[in-house]
Amino acid sequence: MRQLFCIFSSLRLTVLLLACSVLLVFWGTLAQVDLGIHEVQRRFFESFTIFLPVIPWHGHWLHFPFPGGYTIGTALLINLACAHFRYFCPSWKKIGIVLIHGGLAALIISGFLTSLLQVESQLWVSEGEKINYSESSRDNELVIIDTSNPEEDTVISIPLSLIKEPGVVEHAALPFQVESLAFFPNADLGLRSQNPNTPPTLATRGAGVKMDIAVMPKPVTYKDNEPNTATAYIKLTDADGEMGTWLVSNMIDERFPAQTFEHGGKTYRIALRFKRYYTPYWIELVDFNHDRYPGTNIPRNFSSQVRIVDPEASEERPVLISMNHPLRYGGLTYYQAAFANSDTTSILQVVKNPSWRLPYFAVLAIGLGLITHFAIHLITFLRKR
Amino acid sequence: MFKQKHILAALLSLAIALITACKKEGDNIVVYTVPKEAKHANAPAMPTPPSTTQPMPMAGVPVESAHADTPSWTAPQDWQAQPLGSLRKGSWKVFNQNGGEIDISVLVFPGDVGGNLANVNRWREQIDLAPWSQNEFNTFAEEILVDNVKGTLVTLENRTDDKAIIAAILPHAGNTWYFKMLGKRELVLAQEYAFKEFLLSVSFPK
Repeated sequence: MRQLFCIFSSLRLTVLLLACSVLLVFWGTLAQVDLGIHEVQRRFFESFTIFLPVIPWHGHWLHFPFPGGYTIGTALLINLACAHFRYFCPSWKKIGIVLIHGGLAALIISGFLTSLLQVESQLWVSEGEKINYSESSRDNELVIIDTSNPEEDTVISIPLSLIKEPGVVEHAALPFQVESLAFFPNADLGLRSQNPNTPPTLATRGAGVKMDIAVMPKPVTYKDNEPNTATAYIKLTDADGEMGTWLVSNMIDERFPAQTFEHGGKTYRIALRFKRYYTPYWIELVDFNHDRYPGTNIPRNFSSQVRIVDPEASEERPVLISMNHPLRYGGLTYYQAAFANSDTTSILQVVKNPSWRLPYFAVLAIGLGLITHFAIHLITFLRKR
Repeated sequence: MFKQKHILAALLSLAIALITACKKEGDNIVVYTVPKEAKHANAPAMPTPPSTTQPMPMAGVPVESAHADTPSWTAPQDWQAQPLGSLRKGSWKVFNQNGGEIDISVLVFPGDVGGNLANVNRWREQIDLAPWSQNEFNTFAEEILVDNVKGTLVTLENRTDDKAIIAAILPHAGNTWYFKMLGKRELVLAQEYAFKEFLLSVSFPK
């Protein structure tokens, strides 16, 4: 154990881990060209191991394992703590060191927490419209919605991981079986009349049949401005037998007629959509402003005059969201991100990060530690003179 | 004094706990209730898929037909071609100096997609206008002739909100073609002549 402790507290290990971090960032930056920032973040920094192309070999690259962000971060954290206890001599003169090390550890932990807990989504709201949910721009969900109640809808959200492979999904809230017949992570949808050589549809009900939509699978894209059109054929079966097969896709959204069906005296809607995150309050866009420099089309400022309507907190107040001035409300942060529809729709980036304060405290502790340590040394030096 | 093995064990436990305990929303089915949502008044009446995989057509150049029944047309020079989705057959934007923009789209669907009145009323809802009755539709919708195809032309203006749509519906060979121009009223009306010229340039394959 002593030997292990010596290895973990070694300063050579610190240098090695920092060198690995530099290499990981270097390779990750290069990989962004093909994979985009989100996929690189997932593969390189939110993983334990990554296989990197290191040696060219007959037109291909030989891949070698390399520690991912989680491995390096964990090792750095253990190394920092072990080294601290190995070399630390309790004394009030070392209080600065304690603060610096504590701050560094908090910074690494906040990185972990952010990667594990942070959820990002977008809220599209047009002038005069009230919205109580934001949508992921990458993750999707299959939803079966009971719309029978005139006041509220009951949503059964099935993650795509359960329908990626053909198979049956059952749940106590579902009065029927949901079976995935085929799933396409990305596809083009078109009219069969214009794409006659496409495979026959599996759909027997809904838009897929009515509009005779053809599905043309294509490779997944990692471009940040190009969403994947997730598409699936979903068969529903109850005790009496097959109810039908629907074509669902995040492209078949509210712009199309809803795909509804009746079962057991209730009306249901089936859809595959970008994953939604609901809030107990509404954001209403009163006015969107897109200021430009005079005589040009160069944007100067975007701002959204919104109104928060929160019935639970009996709160209703106006807020201005602009660039670098986000709204923090209900544990979420709303940043002005973009706009659409001739400046009448505002797009807000919604970030949920329960650990957002930790990096601020960490940097504050490091700063205080550095000042304290420097001040103690300065005072000791001046006294000696 | 700390014992080294205790420190090491505590740190390893902390690291493992951090990574394993803090899982993102996982692979579980979630059931929840939400209030009925209001219909998206500003959602486009016709699909505008986000895919941008198809090549961008050049403004002012007749479009080569990707499929046998896609017509050719000549778009005005100042219309800026936009990437097409798999459902949009033509897509342009027009900008003015004040930063306003209008969106011009061409879409095609099999059949009549609910009929002309339903589609025109969806467009009217899109710019916050009350729906037309069949009588109002018959009164205000104009008949147009494009490449010997009889169609319908509507001009919808919301003077209060300064929004407008000029759109043409052309049934051809079992499909219905929708040519639509949407944006600020002043800009849309300024492009009315260009839009009609564009319509007249439409030529269906013989």
